[in-house]
Amino acid sequence: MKQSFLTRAGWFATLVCSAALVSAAQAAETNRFAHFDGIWSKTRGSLRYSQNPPFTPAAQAAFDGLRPQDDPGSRCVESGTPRIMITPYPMEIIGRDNYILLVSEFNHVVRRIWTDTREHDPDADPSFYGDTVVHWEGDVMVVDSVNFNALNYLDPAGDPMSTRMRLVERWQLTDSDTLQIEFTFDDPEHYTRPWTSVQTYKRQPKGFKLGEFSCTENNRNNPDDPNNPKSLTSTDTPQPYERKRPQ
Amino acid sequence: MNFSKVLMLGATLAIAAAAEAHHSFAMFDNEKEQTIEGEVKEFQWTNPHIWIQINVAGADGKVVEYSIEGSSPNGLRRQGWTRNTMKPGDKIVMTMHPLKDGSPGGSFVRAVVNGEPIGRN
Repeated sequence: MKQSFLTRAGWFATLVCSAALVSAAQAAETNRFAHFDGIWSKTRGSLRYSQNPPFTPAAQAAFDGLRPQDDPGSRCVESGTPRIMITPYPMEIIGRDNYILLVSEFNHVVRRIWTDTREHDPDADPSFYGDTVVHWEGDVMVVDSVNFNALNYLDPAGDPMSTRMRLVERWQLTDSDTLQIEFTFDDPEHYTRPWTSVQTYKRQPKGFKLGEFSCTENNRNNPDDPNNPKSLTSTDTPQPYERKRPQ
Repeated sequence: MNFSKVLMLGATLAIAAAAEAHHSFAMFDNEKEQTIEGEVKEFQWTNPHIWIQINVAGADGKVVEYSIEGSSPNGLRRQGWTRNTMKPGDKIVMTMHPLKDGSPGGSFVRAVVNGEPIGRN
């Protein structure tokens, strides 16, 4: 059967359009994690996920007895997740097709979220940033992390975490310049029930640059440093964290 | 009182952490503000935090050195500070959240250097 030129051209056009649609769909899928690309800063406010987390009695007692020099941060220990997400330092988010990088200005910390796995790895080593799987619920990216090494606090206030903690983050752009993340902490070792905190991050303007930052350059808060006579945390007096700080 | 001018105020300011912190600031009394007046001895424009060393002369002539911890150079730069914002010998009026244990030091709240306010961190 002979096809007219116009018919053949029609088929060709259809094929080209279909290919373009498929490739656009693939690109949309591929670039989905670029959804959050940009430099973001947490909005000002508390450096604590909750002013009143549902502590177990033991966790409450431990928290009340915290001393400044107990803070792993005073020794520049890796921040880990979720502490890096509540620091006041800006962070760059870079979405690739199979991972997302969060590059914090704080100590050049990199949190890498693999996005191409669907199951937690039972053999993963406990780590500062945990073992993470990602899925989408509509326009919400759900980041599910387990297997933390728990060598740091949840936040600078000293809220504790354990290796049993599961953290679920729900990432969503509420407008083009606002990233909202809902954190749900499930850690039966320290808390009587799962609890939630919402943090917001603002997109920084074009031209905003992350600076250099070394935690060990002049860390006068390191209580272990014998060469640091001016250390201000080397007191042995227990000083409960001030919880009246406004949100 | 062994320093020239001290104002203790019950702080009611709705401000966030006085100095943006990578570590606990529990050693500072964030409910109080204290103002000292003296001379900059050293300006440490360093990470993770800047430090301002201030010599404060008491009524008895004795000089006490205060250590004031501030935010990071990156954060302060975005608010107009530079490594030359102050230098040794500058006259400074410093408002801080004092150390709870009474040691001469605190966290930065605001300051006036040679008569010019340098703003909140």
